[in-house]
Amino acid sequence: MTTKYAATVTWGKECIEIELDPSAGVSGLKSELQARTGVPLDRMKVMAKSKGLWKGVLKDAEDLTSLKFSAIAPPVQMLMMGSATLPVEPVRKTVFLEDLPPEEAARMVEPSGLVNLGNTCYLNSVAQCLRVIPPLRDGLKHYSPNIAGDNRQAQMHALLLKSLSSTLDSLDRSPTAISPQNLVMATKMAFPQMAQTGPGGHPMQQDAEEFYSSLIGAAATELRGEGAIRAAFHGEKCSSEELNGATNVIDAVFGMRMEETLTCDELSSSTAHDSTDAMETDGVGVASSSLSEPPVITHDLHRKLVCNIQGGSDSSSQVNVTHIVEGIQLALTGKLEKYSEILGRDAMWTRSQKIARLPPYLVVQFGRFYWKATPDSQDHSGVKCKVMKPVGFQGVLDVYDFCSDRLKKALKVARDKAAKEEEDRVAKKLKGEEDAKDGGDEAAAMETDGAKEDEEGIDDELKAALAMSVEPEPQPPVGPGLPSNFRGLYELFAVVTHKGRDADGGHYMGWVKADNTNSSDNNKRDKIVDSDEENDDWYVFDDDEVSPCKTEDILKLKGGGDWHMSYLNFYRAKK
Amino acid sequence: MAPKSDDKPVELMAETETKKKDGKNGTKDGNKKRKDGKKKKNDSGDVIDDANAMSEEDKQLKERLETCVSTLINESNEVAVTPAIRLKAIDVIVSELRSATSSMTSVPKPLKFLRPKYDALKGYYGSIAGDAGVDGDREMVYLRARLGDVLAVLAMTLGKHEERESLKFKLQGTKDYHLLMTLGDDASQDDLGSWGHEFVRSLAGEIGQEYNARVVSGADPEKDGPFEDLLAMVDVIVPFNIAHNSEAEAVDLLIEVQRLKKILDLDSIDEKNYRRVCMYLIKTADFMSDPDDYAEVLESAYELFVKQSQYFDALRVALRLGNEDAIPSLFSLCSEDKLMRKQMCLLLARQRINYVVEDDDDGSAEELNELIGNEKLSEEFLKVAQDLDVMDPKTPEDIYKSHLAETGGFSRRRDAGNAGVDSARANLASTYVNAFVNAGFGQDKLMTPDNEWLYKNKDHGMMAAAASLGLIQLWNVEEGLAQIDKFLYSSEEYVKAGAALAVGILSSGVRNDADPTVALLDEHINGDSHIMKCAACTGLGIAYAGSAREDVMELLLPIVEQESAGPATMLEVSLAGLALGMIFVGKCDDAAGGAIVQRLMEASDEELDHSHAKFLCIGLGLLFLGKMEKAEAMIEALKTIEHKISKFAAIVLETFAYAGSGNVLRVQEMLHQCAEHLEEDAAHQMAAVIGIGLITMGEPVGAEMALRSFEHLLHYCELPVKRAVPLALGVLNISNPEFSVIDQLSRMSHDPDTEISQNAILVMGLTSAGTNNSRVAGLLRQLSEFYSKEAGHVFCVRIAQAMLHMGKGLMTLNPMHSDRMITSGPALGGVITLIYSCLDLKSTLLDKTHYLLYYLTCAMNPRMLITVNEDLSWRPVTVRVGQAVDTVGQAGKPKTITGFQTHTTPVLISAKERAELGTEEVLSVSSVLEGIIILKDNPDYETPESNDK
Repeated sequence: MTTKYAATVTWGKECIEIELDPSAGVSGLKSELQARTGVPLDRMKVMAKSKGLWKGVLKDAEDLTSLKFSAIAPPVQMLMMGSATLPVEPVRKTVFLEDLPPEEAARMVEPSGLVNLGNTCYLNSVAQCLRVIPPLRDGLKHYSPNIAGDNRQAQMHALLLKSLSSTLDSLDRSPTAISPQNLVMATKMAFPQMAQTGPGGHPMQQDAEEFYSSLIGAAATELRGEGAIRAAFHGEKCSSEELNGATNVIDAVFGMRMEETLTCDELSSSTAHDSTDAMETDGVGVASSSLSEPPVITHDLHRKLVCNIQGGSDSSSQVNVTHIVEGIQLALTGKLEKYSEILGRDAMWTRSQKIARLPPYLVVQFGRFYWKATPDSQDHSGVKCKVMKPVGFQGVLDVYDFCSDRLKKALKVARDKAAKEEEDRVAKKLKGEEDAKDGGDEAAAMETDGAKEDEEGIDDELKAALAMSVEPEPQPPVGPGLPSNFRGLYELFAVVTHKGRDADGGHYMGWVKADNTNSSDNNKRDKIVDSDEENDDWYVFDDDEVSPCKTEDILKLKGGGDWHMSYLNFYRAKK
Repeated sequence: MAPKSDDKPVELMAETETKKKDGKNGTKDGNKKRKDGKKKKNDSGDVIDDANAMSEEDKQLKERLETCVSTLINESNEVAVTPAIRLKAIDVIVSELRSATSSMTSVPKPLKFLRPKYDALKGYYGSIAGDAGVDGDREMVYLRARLGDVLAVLAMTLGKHEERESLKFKLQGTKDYHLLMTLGDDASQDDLGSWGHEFVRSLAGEIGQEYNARVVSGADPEKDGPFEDLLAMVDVIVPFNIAHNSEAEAVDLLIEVQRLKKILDLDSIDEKNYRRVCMYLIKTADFMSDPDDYAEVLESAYELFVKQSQYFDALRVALRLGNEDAIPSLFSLCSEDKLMRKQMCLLLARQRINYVVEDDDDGSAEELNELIGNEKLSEEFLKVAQDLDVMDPKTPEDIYKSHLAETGGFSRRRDAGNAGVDSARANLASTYVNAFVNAGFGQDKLMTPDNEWLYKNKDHGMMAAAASLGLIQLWNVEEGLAQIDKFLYSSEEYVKAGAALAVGILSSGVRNDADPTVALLDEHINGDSHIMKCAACTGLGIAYAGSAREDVMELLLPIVEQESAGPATMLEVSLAGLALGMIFVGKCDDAAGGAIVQRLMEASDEELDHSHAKFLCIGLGLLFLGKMEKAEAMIEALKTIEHKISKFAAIVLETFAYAGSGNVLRVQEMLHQCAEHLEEDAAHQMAAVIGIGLITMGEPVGAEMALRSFEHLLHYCELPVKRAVPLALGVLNISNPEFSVIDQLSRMSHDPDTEISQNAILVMGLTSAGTNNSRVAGLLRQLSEFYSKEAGHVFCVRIAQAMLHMGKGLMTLNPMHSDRMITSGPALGGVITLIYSCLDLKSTLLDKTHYLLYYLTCAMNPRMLITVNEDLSWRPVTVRVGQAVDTVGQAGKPKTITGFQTHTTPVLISAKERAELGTEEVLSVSSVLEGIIILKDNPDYETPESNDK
């Protein structure tokens, strides 16, 4: 008895019609289905949709002949499951952030913050900025304190630097905020003035700049010697010429050799214009006019530039400073009363400072706080005040104008070269576009031709200038760790800001540029894209709260309102 | 109480009747009419006129009344004053009283003038009431009866309220009328209604009080004997009320005297007013604190609907009652009406009732069973999606919209830059977002194109990812299986488990003749692999939720009963218990309940300390969901467990049993639980808070009161209680993002306590589930930034976003449907599972058992309205969709929606909305426009063109 029954088998979207022959058994049914669908026998699951047949998945042992197919209204309905192909598993296993060791995980997520241990935001913000200065970090790492000495001060400093180093290291490793207990303790021991407490016994707010200067000062005394400097600059030995008087890491990294020129106003007032000319040539050592007092030239090492804002009561010479360049310029010049040998009495002298050697890292302090005398008040002789007015700054600081003539000359080579390259690039780009146009607009072509001619003219002049400046002597190095083609441009990478009306209170935050060391990403970028716009991601460190922000947010920190305003700006040499 | 507008027609009616009587009296008719006219003017002119400035007519009226009263009382016992004259006098008083119509705000004049005489009349009545000699005199009895009536009316305002004098006089009057009847005078009967609606209403109130007083003083409410006189009056008042548009008062009175069944015998309930009566009954049921009363009220409504052949509505009431035994009889009652049967099947499908229509002669059973089995649900859903043009799959990023965040570009770039490193937690969240958002659409951008994403998840995450295929292919069993099948052969155990879970999710609420879920999961549930067992249990629970399938129970029972061998088995036990609860939700199944409670009793302390042991209790509770007193025995049994979980389980059981009942006593009990200040071991308090939400859900007044209690809890209670408050808010507002609730949740989402904020965030998703609510979307986006450092919070935000955009806004989680009347057990169970996992997020959703989230599938339903022809093909018509208005107890034909917009079906309906047909051309088979609605042509409809001709 081999009655066949019409059957439909649903397989996903498909509906397969077969002739069911119970006598062929389960294997017969399955092999027919395999022939039709390509699903291997062992992965085939057949279920009955019509009622009264087998239950669940059809087992191989099931006796089809015993089932009453005839009782079912044809066709017999079945459901089949199974796929011809199996999923392919990936060769490479996915690595999950959660599985990484904390150090690696920390690199993947946003940098971590520092917990505020009671008005320690001044310390936290500065520490976050120092964290991203590799030479300083390397210098600290190399540092092994000479504990043999009996100098308590030195021991304190050693402790401070060690704790700073370890705090910064653990910041790098930890994906979560860490608590800088050791650093705070060491700071308070090294600088007792930082351990002040308020009336309630809780620590008082401190001046971030004061902390920074003290710390840097301590580091300068400790991180001495050629070995330390070498460590800071990755083993590259810096020539003494480059260092130019820097004997410790701090001076090598932040230090500027300042050339201070003092000219007596009364003697040169008649030839004011000449004297400026004279000053420019002074650097080369041309003898000055016998009539005037020879300018006194002294050299000094500074670790920061000051941006003089001149607000509040200190408004004797009212220059309205609205930009950082103006403020620095103002701070670099000044008047003072000094004995003049020629006149035989005290006279007014003009003081003018120029940078003779540039550092790889440049710190600018905004003179936002000043001491305001308040004679009228009963208990005070004055109060610490804050200048709230806005002082703008950009992402890049050009120090060319503050440099000494010798340095300017050295910088000019690279600057001119860069300017030329830029022009070439623009020209090339235009040409490229023209080519792309493929014999496009005639007039446009004419125009660019004209432009090109102009450029060529400029090029000639430039070449001449270059020839003149380059030929006489090879340029002296501009500073340690700076590239030979340094143009005197510094890029802003960290800011310490203050919010609040007075110096003894308020809140400090650190703003640090994101470390975009994603090489693969950078390689992909079109070279033509201006490197300034390459990275405008920043982090703001509000103690343990870290949040991302943009360069535009940084530029808003110029002041003029109640929002945070920049107090310390950290720049690094732009390569 | 009935609104003012209600009174108007009745008052007028009473007036016309008195006029008629005036006509009969005849004597001073002309005079009276003039006076009436004048008086009305007077009334409207100055409502309060004092005795000094009385008008001429008032003086006359006063004098006349006083004369009548003195004649009636006949103090000097003058012989000339015959009973006939006295009757005349009382007639005058009666007619004056009845004809006095005035505004609601002033006392009718005759009433006012009779006021000083009230005591005198009462005294006189007292003298003749006890006089046996009067009983024989027909005229005197009649006089006494009439006087009783007058006094009853006067007592309405003058009598002392507690003494129920009005009723007392009326009852004595009635007795006299009976006496008259025995004396052979059938003519003189009193018509209650003739005294006006206000009198009837006041009388009804006093009857209720009297009834209660008698019950208190020992009368047996079961017997009619002690209340005979009252019930006789009820029999008069109720039909009067129903005939005069006061259905609500009629029902109230019957409930008051505990004789609701009488309503079924009333002839005055007809096709015009049955709906109002039933609506009032159904609403009243919420306020019945006694489960028996509750059932009686609803059963009355059911009977009334059946009497009026409204089988669809009868089915709704039966489902509300949880009375599934009524289904077969309803089906047999309407065996002629094919469309009605189909519509009823569609309702059963929405309610996920596993009912099988028996084969009958015409072979329509197959189609009906197909409808109940939701077999076409996927098809219809996809058609709606196509119609609304939302077929394109959405990626998680489309939901997160991180480019809109302030720091969005930054984080996105970082994500792209660090392509090498995936965060398992973040990817898991994306897996769920992708699954819920594309649920039911059959296509997405992560899982269906290739299986690369699957392996971007870790361990349990991989399981969740594989299971998400089930959600994406939701309801589409046959095609979905074809996609999922291959993962069942994966070498990775988690992928296999996920695929098994997917098989379950896929067929949630859908019946398939081949029944592949149980066939495929059978082998895994009996297998050795722990994770496969967990997945199979959960899969079965989701697939067969509410189906009460015995064969599935047999698979799960051995898992529940197994001996423990460490925490892993306890997890299996708990998950199997939960699945049993879901499958037999609200079925009070003895075998399932017995097994779970047995397991709880035998469990060691370590087992009960397991973080998932709670789900065993929840499974037990689900068995009794909405079954009220049927859980009592089980609660007693639980009390024998000597572990803190016993308290928790008892409260879970109690609150689940009274879920949706609005029972005030239980709410008070739960509030009492929260009064204790506990900082740990407070799980039972958390259950109590959630329980308040569960009990009051679906009943607007109770829910409103619960919201106020939550404010108090937030102020005065300890952390554990506070943590449960957002969850309870969620229970009250599922898929209903009310402004104030979202506000409150948004506040709590910034709470310094991690658990409060995480719960609040998740609940924000729950309250806005499937709505695409832009306000919540904005809030969640803000939260994702605010908590960008907290992995747990971010995960919660993502899940909330997934729920918000669930099914691209085409679905709802709301277990209440059919005009918020019926609660779907499986749906509520699914939501409850999520809510209770929030009690301990750290060890559930934020740990390994995040796949419990898939229980939400049971609650997912399209929130569409489709209108179809008799053959179930689409028939787009215009419908008006607007805010639902509560019209219960209102007279006439009030508008049921407000602020409506006109759409053409298919259209989406949100939680508080209602739809009505925008055309007269068709009639709907169902009384509620939700889901799939069958339309038929309106036989009375005339096209406008034909009218013109």
